[in-house]
Amino acid sequence: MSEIEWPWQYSFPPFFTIQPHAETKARQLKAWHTLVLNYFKANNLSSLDIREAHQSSLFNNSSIDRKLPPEGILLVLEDLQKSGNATPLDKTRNRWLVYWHTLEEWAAIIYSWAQANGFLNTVCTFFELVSGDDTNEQEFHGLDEEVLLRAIQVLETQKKAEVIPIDDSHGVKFF
Amino acid sequence: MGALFGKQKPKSRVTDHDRAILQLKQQRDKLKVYQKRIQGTLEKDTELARKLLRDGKKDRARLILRKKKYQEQLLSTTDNQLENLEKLTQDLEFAGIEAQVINGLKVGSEALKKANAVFSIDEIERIMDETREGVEKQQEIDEMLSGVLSDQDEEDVLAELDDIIKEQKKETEPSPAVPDEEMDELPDEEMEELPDVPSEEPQESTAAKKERNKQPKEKVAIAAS
Amino acid sequence: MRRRAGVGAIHKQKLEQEKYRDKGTEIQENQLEQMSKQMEVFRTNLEDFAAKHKNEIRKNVQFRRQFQDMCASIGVDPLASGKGFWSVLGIGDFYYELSVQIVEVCIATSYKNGGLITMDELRKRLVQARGRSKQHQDISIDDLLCASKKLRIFGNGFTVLPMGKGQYLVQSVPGELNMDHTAILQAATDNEGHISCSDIQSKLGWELERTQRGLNYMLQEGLAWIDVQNPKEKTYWFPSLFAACVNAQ
Repeated sequence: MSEIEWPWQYSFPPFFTIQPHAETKARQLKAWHTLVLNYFKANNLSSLDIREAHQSSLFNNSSIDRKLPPEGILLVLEDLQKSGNATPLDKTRNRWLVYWHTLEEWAAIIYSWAQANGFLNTVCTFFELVSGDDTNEQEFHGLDEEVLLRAIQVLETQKKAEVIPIDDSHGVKFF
Repeated sequence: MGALFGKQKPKSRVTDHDRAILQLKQQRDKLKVYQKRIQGTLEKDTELARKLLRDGKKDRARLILRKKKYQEQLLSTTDNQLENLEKLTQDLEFAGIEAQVINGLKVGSEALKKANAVFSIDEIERIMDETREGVEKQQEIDEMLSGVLSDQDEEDVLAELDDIIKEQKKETEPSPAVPDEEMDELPDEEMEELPDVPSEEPQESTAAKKERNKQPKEKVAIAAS
Repeated sequence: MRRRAGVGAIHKQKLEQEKYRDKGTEIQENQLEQMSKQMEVFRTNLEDFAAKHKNEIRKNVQFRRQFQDMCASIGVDPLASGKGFWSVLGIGDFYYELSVQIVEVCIATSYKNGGLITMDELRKRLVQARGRSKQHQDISIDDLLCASKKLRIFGNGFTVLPMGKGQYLVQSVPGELNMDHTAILQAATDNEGHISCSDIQSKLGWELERTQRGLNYMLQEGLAWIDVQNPKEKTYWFPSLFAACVNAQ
């Protein structure tokens, strides 16, 4: 796990208590928002289970012995959901997908890559996109396949791509 | 074309051809993963063999190296297979492009055929005839205008010329008498030759108006005194 | 003789009195003229001096302080005037500029400290910001206090709170802080930026109700954050006094 540069709030004990005052709380959630996305990006993470979140140093600063409680984590995730940076994976809202680029952004990034590299009107496997040699320099190299699928589905609604299920994985055709 | 099909959602734009390529690509991916795994074990085995040799366990080291050799062979086999797969995939993709090119050519030749079908030979002949007639007529007009004259025309011209000469002789001989006659006849001529009238009449009418304007002035002057 | 002399004397006295009065007026006028002249000379000298040492005044803290004292002694306020000769000097501008920059810093940092900032942090950020744009000018806390006086016209939207021991807090959000709140801030300043109910009770000798009212007000104003994970009791934190926050960026 690569360590990120923690913001000052991370060592500020009340940062781990959801604030009662609305304005302060908004400031707090904004800081968490940025922190979570930075952390997920730095560590190339994509999913989160609230029940296990305390094992991650993100929500648990052992040096000051403070943890963001599950309700707090949920609040942060809901805030991320509002901006299109997270989606709950189950009805209990315990498991979440977190995107440091929104799906629309990912879709645009992937499509412009496909466009620039002559992949329109051809098929690619998901493996090829996230682990292939052609995408080594790309931001989406190493992206979680579930996130990739959702991003491609965004392209599908824009009629710019079509997902092709094959065996246990997926392929995509760009248009 | 894509957008057209896209509207009918159930109809997929993915062809069997695409699926075939995708299958191949997936196979290729699997081989690549396999290669990565073997490469990993190879490195580990080399390390292990070295360690065994250091510990003096020559036999075991040899065993490991033998296994490594085998795996290396596997690796080169997969390399070949991978190459074949890549080739096949590329051939397939190229075939797809070729198909597109052929399709393009087909569409082009269809269009050409359609364009040609518009003109039948008869039609063209008719058009050509019409054109020729038109051209002839035009030439005729040209000739008439530019004075290329027929014999009949020449005779007519000569006859007209004689007439004019005769007329001129008549005019020059009784010249002193004519003006008087003409002066007398002038009012009649004015009635007959309409084109001359407009040029003179406005002057007359303005003159008349002037006179008319003068008269009231005089009348007023008299009344005042 | 007596009568004549009397009349003459009266006459003479009158004349003398008039003469004296004239003389007196003359002398007064002379004195006034001379004094005005002296004032004029002094003013010119002061102006010359100020113009000559303009850069020194702008740069040197102590010099600026002494110059101000000198001006104050003859009733000239270099801060008050933005026009006339003093504006040429730019002394007034210096403080106006500074006060505008103070507001800028307060606004820029209010997202994290809720509109409360220590004078030290304010000064640090100001010097940083100024250092980038123009030649480095030494700014003292005195200068900042001077400049922030200009900001009083904003009413209670901008207040300087003395914390004792030469410490000041600048509050840039509306919301009156009373003596109790200032006392709480003061106590937190001495305690690394955080404070609890029992801390206040023992330090200030307040009863619980008063303590809670004060702390709740600070929460409501967005000046304090609450931490409920302290094993002993709830703690109230002031980001404006929290070292990591002050040093951030």
